[in-house]
Amino acid sequence: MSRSASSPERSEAAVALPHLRLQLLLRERPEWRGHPVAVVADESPDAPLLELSRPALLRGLRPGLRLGAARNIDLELRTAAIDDARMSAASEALAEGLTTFSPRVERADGRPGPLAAPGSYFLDPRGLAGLYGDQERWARSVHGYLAGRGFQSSVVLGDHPHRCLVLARAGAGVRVFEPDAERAEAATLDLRRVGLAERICGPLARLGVDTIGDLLELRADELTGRFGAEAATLHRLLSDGGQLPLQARRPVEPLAVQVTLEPPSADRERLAFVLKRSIDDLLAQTVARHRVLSAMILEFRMEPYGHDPRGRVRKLVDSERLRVEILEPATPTREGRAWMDLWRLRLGEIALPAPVEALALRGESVDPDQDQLVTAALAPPRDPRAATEALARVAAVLGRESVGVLRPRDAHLPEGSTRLVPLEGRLPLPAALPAPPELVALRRLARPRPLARGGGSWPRTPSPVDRADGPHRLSGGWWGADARPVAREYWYLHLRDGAIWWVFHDEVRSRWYLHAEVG
Amino acid sequence: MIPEAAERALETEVARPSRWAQTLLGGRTLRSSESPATPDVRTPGPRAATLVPASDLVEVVGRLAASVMVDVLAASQRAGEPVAWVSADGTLPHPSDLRGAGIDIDALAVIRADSSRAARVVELLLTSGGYGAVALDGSPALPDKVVARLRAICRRHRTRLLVAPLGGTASLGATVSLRLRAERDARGVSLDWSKDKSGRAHPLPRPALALPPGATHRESPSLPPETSRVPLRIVS
Repeated sequence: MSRSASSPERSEAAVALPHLRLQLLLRERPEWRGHPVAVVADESPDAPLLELSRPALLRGLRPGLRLGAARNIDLELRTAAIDDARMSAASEALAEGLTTFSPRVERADGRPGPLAAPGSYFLDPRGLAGLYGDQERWARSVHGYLAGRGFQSSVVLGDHPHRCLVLARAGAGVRVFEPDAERAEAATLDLRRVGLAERICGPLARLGVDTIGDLLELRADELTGRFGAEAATLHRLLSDGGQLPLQARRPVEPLAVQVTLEPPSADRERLAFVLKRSIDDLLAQTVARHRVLSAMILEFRMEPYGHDPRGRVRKLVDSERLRVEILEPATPTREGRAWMDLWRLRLGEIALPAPVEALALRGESVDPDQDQLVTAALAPPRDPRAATEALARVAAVLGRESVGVLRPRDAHLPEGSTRLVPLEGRLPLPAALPAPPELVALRRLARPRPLARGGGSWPRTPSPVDRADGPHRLSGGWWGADARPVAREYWYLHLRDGAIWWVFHDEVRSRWYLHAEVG
Repeated sequence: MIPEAAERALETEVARPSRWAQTLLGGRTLRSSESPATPDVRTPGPRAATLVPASDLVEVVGRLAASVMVDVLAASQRAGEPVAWVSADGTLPHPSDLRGAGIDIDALAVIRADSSRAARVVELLLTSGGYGAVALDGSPALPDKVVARLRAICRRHRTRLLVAPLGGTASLGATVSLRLRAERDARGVSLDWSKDKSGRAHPLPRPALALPPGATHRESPSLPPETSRVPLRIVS
């Protein structure tokens, strides 16, 4: 099957990573390998199983089965969701990695048609034999690169892109095909093995069309009417001629500026001055690409020797010599003044242990978003853009993790049920929720604080307890390998001085904790 | 600290599930998404939002300071204005309580600041002019100069700044001209101006100069806001 040394080089290469969602999940949870595992759309009982590990298939589970039904069949089934955003990000990262081996890489899921699926790539292998010795070694390098990152893959070299793709999906390892061998091998492939949907395979199979060879013997013009446009498209993709050339990803030069400070300096004014020139350069690059900057990453490279708080000279370890700061504006912008405003705030907050000898500024850009004009009569009473810009300035001072909106989430303990998530985009204008008829008391949650035991079995309080409301029992945490059982009894204690405490008795530790004060 | 009589009363509560246990949860185990509701605290008369002027700094003290501030933020949101909550003491309100108070949590900017930088954060928010109301919870004692500057910014941008000091007791000093006290008592919530040097006409009666020791002012619970400028009813 391998080509001889004298044969011309192949013009097409396809890389397939089968069951990419499952592979991503097992990379995240390596302890699940060897167990029945399924990727699901979400964790609800009605969610269908998308991809299954081999042990799960051996236990009779199949893709499309509902999660609730699957759990009835196999109680040990482990499930997790890999959403489309994560898949897309992983596919893009893989495509970026494959550009190490060929400057021309295309994601196959970007092409229309029934063969589009994540985890498939077209590469241009021409002209690289000189670097790797021959094309087969090149293909083995690609395969080894993916294997080194924990991915199973198949790499096929040939002369027809879509035949290479179906051969890659149906096989494993590295294979190089001569044109005739490629055509013959592809013709034997079962349509279901190349990842085609059942809605295409089913009607064809009823007429005895099981393989790609069977399909290609049919007349293309009759397929549309009898089996639909997808079957006709598949026929066209796998036929000779009329193939779309490889649509390579355009290489994107990073937006970056580097400056060396001579002599090195820790003076904020000087750093701000140098930074301003760098920002102007970066923005000029951004404008030339008709983009706007959504984030800036600034790396400070410091001298090897700095001063400790007592003023004594000390040698910095490598990790201390590099400091990375990331800033995001309220909305992507090309305004140098807005960026400089944020950087001045940030520079005022960071401590530099040694003079800076180099600055590296990188930018992340997005397409500009055109604001819709709003007439004065319809304009909100306050400018929400100003509100969001203020939050960006606060984030520059405190860090992104300290600014956001509160989101409730399912958690077994109250302290896990609230999280502060960074704001995505602009702060929305508030919806007019109905006013409650009366003032609603608010709990101010903090980390549970241990309370000393008072008289009897109750906690010590600063003022006598007039009333206690409870208990609200909460238990859990017994699951999992590192089981940490939780058993709490929550009480509201109405103190005589007017305070209301939300306390709980931790029955595992036999201790009282103050969890919130109603204020 | 619990006296023996109260201890016995509490033991009785344990033996006989209380109203909360019966009505809210029935003593059953909480599910993951559940959170026990907060105790019912009712306020008679006008809401805090109607009392707080549109462009000034108000110090809110007392046991229910945070709840009152949320009430004001909810009113600003209903008027279509962005609002922000700054926590300077590490505590955060629970989203379910905020929703219950009429807050759109998706449009509530929340900032967790340390006490040394809380005033700076508030100043950054106020100077943007983008907020209708900002609440600073668990505020440290602020220097007079800072308070005066924040008041001036509030007036320039017509923004309400509500400051609840750490510990619930007044700490902003002489520069603050408005101090609202929100306390819990046997009937619910009492709101009164423990300090008002703004010279404005406002819905709550001002304290008379000569009050008997321990006396507080409270508006009549039965009167709507517009008719609440009635002679004082002094509760001692």
